Amino acid sequence: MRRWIILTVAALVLVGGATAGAFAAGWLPFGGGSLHGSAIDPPLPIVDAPLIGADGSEVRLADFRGKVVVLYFGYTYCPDVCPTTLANVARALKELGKRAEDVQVVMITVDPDRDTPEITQEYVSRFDPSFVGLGGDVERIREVATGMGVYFEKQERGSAGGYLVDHTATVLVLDRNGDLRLMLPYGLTGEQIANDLRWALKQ
Amino acid sequence: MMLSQVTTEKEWMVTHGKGWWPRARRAPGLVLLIVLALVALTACGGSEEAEAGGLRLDEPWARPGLASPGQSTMSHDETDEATDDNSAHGGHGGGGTSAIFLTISNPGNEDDRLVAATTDVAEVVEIHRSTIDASGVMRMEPIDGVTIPAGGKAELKPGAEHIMLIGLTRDLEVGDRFSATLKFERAGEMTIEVEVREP
Repeated sequence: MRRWIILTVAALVLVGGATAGAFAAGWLPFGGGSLHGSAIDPPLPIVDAPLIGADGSEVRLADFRGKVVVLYFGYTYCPDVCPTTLANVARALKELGKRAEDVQVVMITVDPDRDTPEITQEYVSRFDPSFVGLGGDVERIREVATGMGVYFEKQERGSAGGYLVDHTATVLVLDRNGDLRLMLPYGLTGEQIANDLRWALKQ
Repeated sequence: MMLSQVTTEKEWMVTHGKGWWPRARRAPGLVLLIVLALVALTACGGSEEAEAGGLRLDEPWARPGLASPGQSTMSHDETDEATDDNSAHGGHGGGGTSAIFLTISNPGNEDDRLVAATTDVAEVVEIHRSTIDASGVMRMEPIDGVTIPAGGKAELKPGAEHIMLIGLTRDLEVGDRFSATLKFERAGEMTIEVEVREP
């Protein structure tokens, strides 16, 4: 009897370990084991308030449906984290090659006082000409951001260069239906982002 | 590292040497010397090193940035005014930003501290620190200096401490070089040449 218990426990541990290992290695298609970011399951509908594009026209994120949207909230005066992230996203697109045609990268400024839609567009174009920069009314931008758990706040910390903006540095990925599907933490490499985007493209 | 590179070069000579560089086969010792010299040169050329006051400054680089991002909507008068008086406008004159990153090593016995920096490519130069908290929020704030511990080093890198350039006075394109002067509590002033490159 005792032997049976020991054998059963051993078998369970073996099976459990193997399953966990398979998840970790990404062999199993579900569970997002091979992702560097966190999958949102089920996909989360977003708050799609109207924003403004570089040509002054109204743009909603729903306009990009059909493509996987890589969304970033940042600002052009940000000299450190934003450019690092955008450069890595640009690298990820290069990794994806032809499949990058189904991906649209969008940056929404969290500093619309200084970043007009034109400035935002010019800024993101330097990373990749296909990137879209959006601005608009700060309250509309806040609605879109808050709907995805993105925080931003102007800070005065005695910088002679004017104010800085604290903001969530996470990269958000919308699926082809325009729902939030994936969140990528700050600091992923281009390759890691490309890996997760390949997954998002398959959803 | 160096050894494996040499071996690779030698293997290349063995497989490809014929007809490509006939002398190479006649004087393998000379080839080895040249290869070693090249490897050594590459190793040095890859980093900008400056040494003074016991500190070593390695590989200073900066991000590309524009002196006037989206300036088409701003008149020259406004730009000049803002340049003359930053504080009254709560910021810089529309010039873009960049940041300098480098590694500072301190082989000495006493801590040193980077307290300021200047360069003529930016109106305002500050030492900043970026931090990301557990909820993914990025905060950036001016700090009064970076300590370089005795026998240790300080890495100024993306997502951490950096020398922030505000209000660029000229475009910084990939491949450009400019000089900057760093001020340390003990080592005094050190001038470095900074290369502009993609992060």
